[in-house]
Amino acid sequence: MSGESGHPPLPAVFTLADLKQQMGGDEQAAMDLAGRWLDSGQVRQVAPPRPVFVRLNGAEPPDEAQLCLALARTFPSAVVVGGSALWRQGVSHQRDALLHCAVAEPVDNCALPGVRLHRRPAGWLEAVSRADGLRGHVHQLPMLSAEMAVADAALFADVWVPDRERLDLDRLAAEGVAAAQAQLATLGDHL
Amino acid sequence: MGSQVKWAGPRKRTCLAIEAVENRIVALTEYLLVYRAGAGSPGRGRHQRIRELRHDIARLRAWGQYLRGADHRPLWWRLLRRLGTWLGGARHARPGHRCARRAGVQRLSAYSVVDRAYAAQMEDCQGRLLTLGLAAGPWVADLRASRERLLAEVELLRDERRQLAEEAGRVAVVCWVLSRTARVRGWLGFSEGSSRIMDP
Repeated sequence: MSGESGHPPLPAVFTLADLKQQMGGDEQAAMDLAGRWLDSGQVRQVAPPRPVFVRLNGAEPPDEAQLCLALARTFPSAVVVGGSALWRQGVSHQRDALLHCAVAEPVDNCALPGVRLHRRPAGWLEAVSRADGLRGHVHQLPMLSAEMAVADAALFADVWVPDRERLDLDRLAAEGVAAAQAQLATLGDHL
Repeated sequence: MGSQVKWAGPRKRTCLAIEAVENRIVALTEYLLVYRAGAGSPGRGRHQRIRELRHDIARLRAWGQYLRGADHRPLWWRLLRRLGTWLGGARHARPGHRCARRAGVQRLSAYSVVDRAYAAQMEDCQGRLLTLGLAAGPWVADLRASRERLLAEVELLRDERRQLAEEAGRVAVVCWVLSRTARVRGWLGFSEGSSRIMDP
């Protein structure tokens, strides 16, 4: 999929700015083209009305790298949480069906297949950071540490977590979970 | 991403520009928060990015303060405007231009930082237009008014960017003076209080 013949194809995840650049700065042409692609279902707005798009290959859902890139470009504060973080760190033997992410901003609509977004209050990411609660990345998305993922899931009770017997409890530090819970408790009135 | 705050309705040109700047501050503040939380590239690159983001946020706050002053044109605003014309009047816009600094840190020019805020706001409006374009059914007629309002806002922002390019030098002077004033006020313990944006 290229904006104009002779140009390199657009990446799987792109913004309206990328498209305008490819169209030589012709805003109207970029808008018309994006409108046509949206109409035909070739692309989808990641979270309407934000101007970030993901290219679709028919009924095939985008692969995880594309999903993560789309989320990272749309929501700067997106973090992988819950069972998704636990499985990717080898703490859970049960794989997530959807990629669970938290964002500390209002989300009206997320049109990405295979992703579930959870709203977190202002200050959440700061509290997570204070507890050193981020551990690694899933492609470009930061991920909660296993202990923080457990504490977060227990506090907000809105994310998928695996069954208890499918968890490798030896890989979870009880004091780490307690410390994470104590930090999240400082959110207080925001909850 | 550009702006992260919900769009609230039609405004005059200055209000729209202020909103663009504030929305961009919110977006950059989120990036700053994520970087400070340990995400992003590790090591020196991360610290450099954090410094750049802080600097850009300070300049956007300064420009927002200048825009808010345009309504009542107090003495400081008129003096600053004159100073901007005198010192920066002849400087032309160089979009995307980066200034080499000591210690190898490269920063966008003040004009580029503000222009990106306006561009992000414009793209948000255009994203809404695309979303509205997909709407079908009996409420389409009701959406026509929203569509016209958004088109008008895009046009206003386009004018604002054109004007900004003509006064790139003034943008640099205004951002330099007001961001340093804010820093000194911070050292002296005075809070800014005028912006709805909170530092993480």
